[in-house]
Parts: sequence; C-alpha cells; structure tokens
Amino acid sequence: MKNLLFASLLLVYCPIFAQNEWSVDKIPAALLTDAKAVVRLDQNYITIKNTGEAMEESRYVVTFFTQPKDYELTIGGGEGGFYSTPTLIGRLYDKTGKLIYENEKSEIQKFGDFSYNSFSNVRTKLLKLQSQELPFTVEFLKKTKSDGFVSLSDNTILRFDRSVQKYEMTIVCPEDYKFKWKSVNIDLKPSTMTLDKKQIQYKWMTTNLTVQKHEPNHPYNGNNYAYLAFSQEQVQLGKYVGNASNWKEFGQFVYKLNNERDEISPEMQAKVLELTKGVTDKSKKIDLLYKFLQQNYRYVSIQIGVGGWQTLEASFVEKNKFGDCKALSNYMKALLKVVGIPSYLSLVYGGDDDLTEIDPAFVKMSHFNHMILFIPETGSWLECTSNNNPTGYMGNDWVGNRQALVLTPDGGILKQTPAYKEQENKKSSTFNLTINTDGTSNLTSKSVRLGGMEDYYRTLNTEYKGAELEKEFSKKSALTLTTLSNLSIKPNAEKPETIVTYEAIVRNFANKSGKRYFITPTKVNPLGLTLSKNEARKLPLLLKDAYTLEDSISINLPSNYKSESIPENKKLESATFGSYSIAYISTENTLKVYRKVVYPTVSVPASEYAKAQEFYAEIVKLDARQAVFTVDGGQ
Amino acid sequence: MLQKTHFLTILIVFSTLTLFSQPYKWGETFGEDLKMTSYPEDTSAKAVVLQDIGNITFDSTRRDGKLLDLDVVVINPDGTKTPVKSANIYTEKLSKYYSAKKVFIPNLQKGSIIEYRFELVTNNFLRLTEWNFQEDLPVRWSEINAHIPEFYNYLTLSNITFPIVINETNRKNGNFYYRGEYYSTVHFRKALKNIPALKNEPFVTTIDDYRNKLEFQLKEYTYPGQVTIPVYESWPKLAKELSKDTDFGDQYLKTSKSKVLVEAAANLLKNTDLPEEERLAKLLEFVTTNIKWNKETWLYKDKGINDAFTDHQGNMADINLGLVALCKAAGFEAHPMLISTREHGHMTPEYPIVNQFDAVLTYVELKDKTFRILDGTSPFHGVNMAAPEHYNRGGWVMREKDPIWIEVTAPERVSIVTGALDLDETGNLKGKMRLSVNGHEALEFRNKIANDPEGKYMKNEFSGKFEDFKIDSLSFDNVKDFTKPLNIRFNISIPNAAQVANDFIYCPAITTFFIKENPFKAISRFCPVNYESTLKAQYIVTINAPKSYKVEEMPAALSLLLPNDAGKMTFACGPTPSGETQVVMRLNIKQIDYTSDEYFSLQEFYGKVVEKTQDQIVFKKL
Repeated sequence: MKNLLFASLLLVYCPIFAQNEWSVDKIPAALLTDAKAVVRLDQNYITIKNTGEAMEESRYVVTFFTQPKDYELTIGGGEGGFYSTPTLIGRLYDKTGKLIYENEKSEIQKFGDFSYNSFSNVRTKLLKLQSQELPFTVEFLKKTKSDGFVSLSDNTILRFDRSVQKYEMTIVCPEDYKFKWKSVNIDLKPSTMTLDKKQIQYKWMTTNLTVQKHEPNHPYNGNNYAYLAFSQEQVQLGKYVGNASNWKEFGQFVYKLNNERDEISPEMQAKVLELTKGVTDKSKKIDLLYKFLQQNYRYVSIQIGVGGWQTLEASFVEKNKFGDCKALSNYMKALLKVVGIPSYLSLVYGGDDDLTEIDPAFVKMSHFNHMILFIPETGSWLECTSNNNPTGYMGNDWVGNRQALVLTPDGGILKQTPAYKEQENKKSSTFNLTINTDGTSNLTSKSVRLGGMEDYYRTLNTEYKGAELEKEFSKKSALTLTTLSNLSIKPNAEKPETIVTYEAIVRNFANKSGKRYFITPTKVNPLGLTLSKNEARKLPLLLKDAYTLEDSISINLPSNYKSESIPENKKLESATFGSYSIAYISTENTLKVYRKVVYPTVSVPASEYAKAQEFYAEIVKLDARQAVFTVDGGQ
Repeated sequence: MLQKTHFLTILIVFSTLTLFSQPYKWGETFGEDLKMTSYPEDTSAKAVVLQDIGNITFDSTRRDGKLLDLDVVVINPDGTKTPVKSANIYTEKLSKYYSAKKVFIPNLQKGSIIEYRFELVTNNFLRLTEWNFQEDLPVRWSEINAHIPEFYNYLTLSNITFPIVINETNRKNGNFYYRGEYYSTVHFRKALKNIPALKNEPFVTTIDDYRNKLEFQLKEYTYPGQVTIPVYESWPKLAKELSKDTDFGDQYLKTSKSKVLVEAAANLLKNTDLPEEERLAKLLEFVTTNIKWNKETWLYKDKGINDAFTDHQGNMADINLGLVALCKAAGFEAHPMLISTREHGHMTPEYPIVNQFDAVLTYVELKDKTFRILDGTSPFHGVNMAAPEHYNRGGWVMREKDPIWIEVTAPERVSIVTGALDLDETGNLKGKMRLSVNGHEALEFRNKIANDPEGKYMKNEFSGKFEDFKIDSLSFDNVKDFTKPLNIRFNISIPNAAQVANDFIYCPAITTFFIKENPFKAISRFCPVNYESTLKAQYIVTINAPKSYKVEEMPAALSLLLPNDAGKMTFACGPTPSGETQVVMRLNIKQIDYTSDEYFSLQEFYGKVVEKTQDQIVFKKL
C-alpha cells in the first residue's frame, strides 16, 4: 500500500525540525502587496481506492497580516454518513515561526447539528484557534475518510485578498479510475506518474500567486477566484453504483435512487380525488394539490438516507406531516400521480451566494443542494418546501433563473427554471403626505409589490401578527413612524403579488426650520444602489438584482406656504445600466412627484465599471434633491 | 438525591378565552382550549404556554442522572392524540456539560397542543434549578412546588413583578424517608398567571434581570442528631474562605504563586517617587504587555499567575489577580473586586453567595482613600477603566477581614467634534475636523487603531458614511496616553453637501459625526432603560460661506431638558466675529437609569435632538 505510506508522510512532517520555516521573513516581497493573509502552503493529497472509498489529507498554512475572522481560525469536519475525520490538528506560530500552540484532542468540539428544524445523523467536529499578535501563522492538518461515497469537490487555489506561496494538489487513483478536471481562472496542468500496483498520480502545482484583490459585486462565487474542478465518471452511494460521465447518466442514477418511493395510502388517494373532484383543468388541479401540501405539511431538514441523496418514502411524509426538500417533492409527485399528472424530481442549487453556472459537458455532483419538482405537461415547477409561495413561484435568489437537472426515466435533462426580469420584480407605490404645522406629517401609502419585491412582506405576514407585525414593519420603514394604523399586508394566493397599505404619522419627513420647510420627497423610498469609486477595478461587474420602482408622491403643505425652490425634472437613461426619471409638479402649497427607476441585471467587464459607478452616483445625487417652501410673505 | 418533575403544555396558535379554573392534569382533555386559534391576552403571540408546572422532591435513593422519562403528546384540534415515538426523540451533546433532547413533532397543525413531561435527577441541592415563570412566549399558568425535607433550610431568591395567585407553605409530617426513619417536609407552592412574554430590548444590563423567576439557595442544613451546618453565613466569612482558596486567595496572597511575575517587574516596584497613578499605569502596562487575555471571563485562576506570565496568556483571574499581587508588592493597598458581568445579571448584596459573581477586577486604594479600578483584559484600558461589560453597578471588594460593596460607574463616554469648513458656490464643504473622544468611545477607537495604525480602514469607514465623502491626512494624538482624550484629526471634503438653487444655498447645519438616529425607536417599552455610562457629545463647527453670500436665515436656538435634569441638549447657531457661521450642539446624558415610564421622555428628547440636527442654514446671494 504505497499510497498510504506516501500519505502519512505528509502528516508525520514535524514542525520541530524546521524551527523557522513559517517565519514571516520567508515570504517573498511580491506576495505581501495588498495581502490580508499569505497562504504559505496549501497541500492536498487525495488517495482514491475505488469509486466508494477515498482518503483526503490536507495541510494548510496561512500567515495573517490583518485580524482574521473567527471562521478563518476554525476548521471543521463531519462524522457520520459516509464520512469520518480521524485527524484534525491546529497549530499557531508567531512571526518568527516559533510554534506557540498545538491543540489537544480534547479541545475539538463535537456536536450534532442542533439547528431549529433539522433531523440528522451527521455530527460536526470543530476546532477553533485563538487570534494572536499580528502577524501570526496558522497551520491546519486534516484527514477525511470517505467510505461509501466519494465526491471530488472544487478545490480553491486563490481566494481574494490572499496570496499563495505554494499550492499542491495530488490525486492518486487506480489507473482504471476515470475522472475529468479543469482549472478555472488559472491555467494549471497536472504532471502524471505511474506508481506501483497500477496506481496513477496526478499532481497540480503552482507557486507565488500574487493577491487578487476583492472588489464587491463580482461574478465569482464565494471568494473562490481560481480553483480546480473535478468530475468523476463513476458514482457510488453506499450499495448503489452508477455512471456520472454526463448529466444524462448522472440524472438516471439519481432517478433510480429515488424511484418507486411514492406510495400513499388508499385514504389519501381518495382524499386527493375528492379535493380535485369536478376540476378538469390541469393547472387548477396542480394548484389545489400544491396548496393542500403547503397547508398541511412542513419542512424539516433531514440528512439521512443514503447520504442525503435518497428521499424518504411518501408514506413517511403522509404519516408525520413533515419532510425535507426531497421528501416533500416526492410526496407532491405522489399526490399528482393520483390525478394522472406525471412529474419529475429535479436537482437544483438553492440560494444565491455560491451559485455557479452549470457546464453541460462537465458533471459536478457537488453542484446541487436542493430538490424541486418539474411538471412536463404544464412546463411548471414547484418549490415544495415553501408554505407560502404562490403556485409555481421560484424567486430569482432562491431556485429561479438557473439550470436544474430534471430526473426522468430516460436520464437527466438540464433545464432552465423561470427567471424574473425587472418588470416582474416591481414595486409601485403611492404616498400621500399632509404636512402639519408642528413638522410631523400624516401619511397614507399603498404599494403593489411584485416578484422579488414582495417575498419579504409575504414572509413577514406569515411570521408575525398584530403588534409584533407592526413593530417589524416599522423597523423596515425608511421613515420614522410615530404611529401606525390600518396596516394591511395582502399576499395574493395566485401570483407573486402583495399589496401593502397603511397610515402613519411620520416624524422626520419634512424638516421645519424657521420660516421654511425642507423636504426631500424621495425620502419615502430611498434608493439603495451605489457603487464605491474604484479607478483600478479589475473584476467584471455583476449586479444580479433586476427591479423597477414606480412612485407617486403627493405632498400637501399648510396653506400659507409657497415654494421657494423646486428641483428640476430629470431623466437619465442607459441601455446597459437602466433608467431614472423624476418629475415635480408644484401648485400653490402642494407638490406632486413622479419617479420611475429601472435597474436591469448588469453584467459588464471591468472597463465599464467607472461608467456604472457614475451613472448610479448621479441617480442618487438627483434623487437626494430637496424642495424648499417658505411662509408666504415672510415670518 | 433530588428529583424534579416537569409538566408542561404548549399550545400552538389560538383563539377564544376560556375562564381559567384549575390546571390540567396529565392526559386530561383540553376542551375549549383546543379551539383556540389566537391568544386573546396577546394576539401577536405565535403560541402560548397553557401551563408550566414543576415539582421538586427529594429522594435519597436516586443517583445523579439525566433527563428521564420524557413523554411528548400532540393533541390536534379534532381531539386526536399522537404520542411522539421514542425514535423521534434525539439526544444531542451540546458541550462537555450540557446535552439537549430534540423532539420531532409529527402531524403538527395550527391549534395543536403539545403536552410533555419529564424528570430530571440531580445531586446539586445547593442551588435548585431556577424556575422561570416568564418565557419568550406568554404563559397562562406557571407553578412551582418544592417539597423540602425538614433538614434543609433554603432561601428563596426571587424576581417577581406580576401578581402571585398562589403562595402557600405547608408542613407535612412523616412523608420523607431517610435512613430508616420518617421525617416531615415543607411544601412551598407558588403560582403566577397570565404572564406576558419577555422580549429583548436594547439598553438593558441583561434581559434576564427582568424575567420573573425564582431560585432556591441552600442556607444551612441539620441532619438528624447532628449540628447545623451553614452553607453560607456572612460576607466576612465568605471573604475568609475565598482568601484561603487555592484557585483564588492563594494566588495573590501567597508570594510563591506570583513570584515569577513580581520578580520580572522588580524595576517597576522601585519607582516610589512617581505619583501613584503613574505607578499604577506602569504596573498595568507591564501586565497587559506580558499576559494576553485568552477571552475567558472567570474569577478563579486557570494557569495561575506565574504560568500565565511565562506563557504570555491567561484568563481574567490570572491577569487581574496578578495585578493585585503586583500592586501589593509595590506597596499599594490592593484587593480583588468580584463582579457580575452585565450578561451574567444583577448581584444581590443581601446574600453572601459566591456564585452570583463571574468576573474579577483589581481594586486599588490610594493614599487619599480614593480608589482606582484596574482591568488587565485589554492593553487599552488605562487606570480606572474596565471593559464595558464589567460595569454592572459595582462590585464586592474582597478585603480579607472586612469586605465591602462599592458602587462603580463607567467613565463618561465623550465625543467632541470640532471643525472649520469652507462652503463653496456649488455646495461643496471642505476643511479640517477633529474628533476628540474619551471613556469607552476612546477604548473602541484605540482598539481599531491597534489593528490599523495608519488609519487606512478608519478612513474608509468615515468615508463610507456618505457617497463621495473624502477623508485624508488622518492623524491621531494620545493613542498611548490613556490619561488624555484620544484625538483624531483629518481633512474632510463633502461634495454637494449643500443644495444650490436659484440665489440660495441651503446648507445642513450638522453634516456628520453627530447623532443622526433616535436610539429609542420602539413604540413601547417593558424594561427600564440602563445606559452603561453617562454621555457627552458636542459638535462645534464653523462654516465659512462664499464672500458673495450672506446669511438669510439661521436655525433657531433650542435648549431641551430631560425631567429631573437627567439630560440636556442645547443648539445654537450664530455669526463669529470674523463673519463665519458657527454651529454649536451639545448633548449630555447625566442619569444612567430610567424607568419604563421615563422611556417616553427619552424617546421624545432624542426625537427632538435628531430633528434639530437636520436644520439648515440658508445663504442668499448678495
């Protein structure tokens, strides 16, 4: 077992024999520029025994020049399911490279996943180190064993704000073990070597990578700028083995894993038929059954059942009235089956933060973390873990606007989920304000919120009631509401639309100073998007959120006031960055303001950044202009 | 030894009120309560605790154990009962000392009632588990029963502000069996009803200080035929015990325990001709530069003073007891001061119990009998400043023979902004400003500067407040001199700060670095308000308008007082002799505690302050 001997050499490496190896002086000067930290060594060694067994060892040494966040001083590992983490070691070195701390085994914290609604047989191990006087160096050693399931996940080479002195990735596998690899945002190729016993070693190596500075609103997921990605030809999950050489085959494998787990009781079948009795329209049937699911079943995170890849039986959900994303999707599928509507479980990435594009030619099993349901006859999708989404609504920042892998009997099919554009994520509001002589204002407001502009309020309405709802609503308001009355939040059950109306007395809207009123009308709904100036922008710019705001603001002042200064009407338009228009109509002691702002999704190269920055800064500047009113005829 | 049973039912989402008579028995049907879809006493509640009943009994045959016999039943609105199977109950280890039972509730619906009971066996009878009458959810009925054998004399520590509906003490003869004999017990019963939910609020020491709760603390015990053994008696007795404790008193009273530290500081001990405060500052600096705090707040030693010094790392006791030892060696009258951190909750000087403390500071008495507090958990405190969380109204100074309670308040939080700004004809402001801070405000900035000595990040942080805001030539004074305010000087440029329209320039009187938001936004208040310290904020800036403009209107002067002279705000705007416009705003909060009724005065006061900061100066073209 030469590979194992090789692997353990990595860990036996003892810091005592190289006293000053991690001295800060040994970092090449070029790596210090802009570096919040320098990765001294990032060494990974993966030994693959077969499709289901592997061992991964890693050694990560990093010198911090600015105070690290807690998570940067923490290393974790899993225990249970297909994994175990037999080794977890953390060491601290001072700036001269002297070892000042190494953890004892007892300092590793172990606990179950004790979050609010989760159901898991996986335990977590965590090791947290203490911050030291800067600069200081942290070394983490970790060994993970996989038994039953091997997934080669992305391996980051370069993170933002960290330079890398040495990176190494080694994979040793039997010569008949097939996998693909690609390097992203870096050009790296492995050297290969044949070892004993028909083993092949692949080794990627690079040194002295200078800092890639972090700049906000970039298209790279997480903080992974350059990384290696892998794709295995064979997939094994416990006793199940399948092909993962392309999406079709991989989809077929997961399909089989989850197939024929959708039996529900005759009573439930009867109930489903009764619920849909007399309804012929398929969409209506889907809607009825989806609402039945939402009203009677709840989401619980479940990490059991073939490493989290296999759904619980539909009968489990029927009995317990809860399930995870797989179990609830599968249960919904079972309900639809009763009324003769076929549907397919579909793998998808849920969330916004680490979303990457799917490469149709490169299967990455670790891409997905969630399951939804696809109905081919109507072309519609169902997110079965939501208790309040309108039927078919996906949401851009959750599972909409991305590719999902639909699991059909004929294999996996990549399919785009619905995307919601700027006109579908829209908020149209009217604000009527009457300014009182004491400077307070009476406000009545109505907004019609669509798509991405409504889900916060839909959720708020489910989570809070009465006085608590009013409190939460007030917190979110841009204005200081001294009283709030007749608050009504009405989510539409059929479509992603929520209508919010309320009345309030507002404190800081008009500023009365001497004989004048200073009023910034757009204070009722300030604009959030600003980009910081950056003349040397290097990363492309991505502004994902696309939305539209339409405001009609009507302001009535006490009758003895007249306008002294009213801002000019303005219009700003760009094919790429969106548009802004504002009009002020002033008559006697009233002012009416109409504003429309459109923010499309923006994806442009770094060279366009300055233009975008100026455009949005100009909008904010125009928007912040105030109107001034004085007492007619002086004081 | 001790056995507690706990019987609790919770209802998820409700409706009509049923007149409450007697608590339900285990397994009884819930009748009208099953129809509840909202709790009438608090319609914003997501659930209500129908009843929470605890029984504490003693049993000499039981061993220390865990949570046992957990039964959970779900009762749905249609009356069906589903017992939770043991397969759906998991035990999760949370830490070395604690584990939790996690229950997956099947078949849950709106209006379901969850009923559960369990038993907890423990042999810690010094302090019986705290009974919380008040929860994060409203509670309709909460009752604690304790059946205490006659040999034990417990003191009840309680914080109860809602009416007690049952308060009984009965003696029962011969119902406790101990070593072949029967003894009597005393049955305490206390119940509260309709207790509102406790919600967290800002400006409190800790929300737990306001929770309605009860605790039993053992005072003394008398086993049959034996003498009475006091568990605690008096503060001097406790002081005597602690002074002999190897993990506490020995640390600074036995010279061998601090020898390494004291000898290393030998040079400092000789400077007896320096003023006392300067000597203290040097001793404090010696400790903070040599021992880094490991973030552990505790009053007993971890490594001990000598090892903490050698390892350059230690817990709070290693550091602050080390300071006591060092100050004593330097000839000062020094003692540990035991405190409870704000999070740990309030202290009760009435009861000499050590477990109400969780932290220790250093107390030093000077020749003039005034005292100074030292806290070596940060290198930036200086003499007479501790971390903000260590100010919880005072502490217990453990003089071995005659310990005393003293009141300590945090130093005033001071922030003074001065500056001179030029206004140009397009509405830009440009000039120099200085921020002068003291108290914990200075501590926060000194912490930032330690990681950012050139102010690179601070520059960005200041600039980030406004679009296009530019800060440069940032410099600091008195970073290391804790006896003086920390000064931050910088040049500032604010494009489009003022609005130019027709012949007017409307310039905000106060642009930034002053309070801009009301900290008291909530429309209601349950708890009293507590500030960590008194506050002083001032803004004194001159604005120099272009020569071709004159002042058309200046904001009116305003002076506001909080009731009882608890706080004051003044605002004035006027011309300087050289023709600029000067804006002066002063805010001073002199009182740190306010009742929940006084909250509204504070809210109104801050509302007016914030409004005043938005005033504008109107300049008109000549």
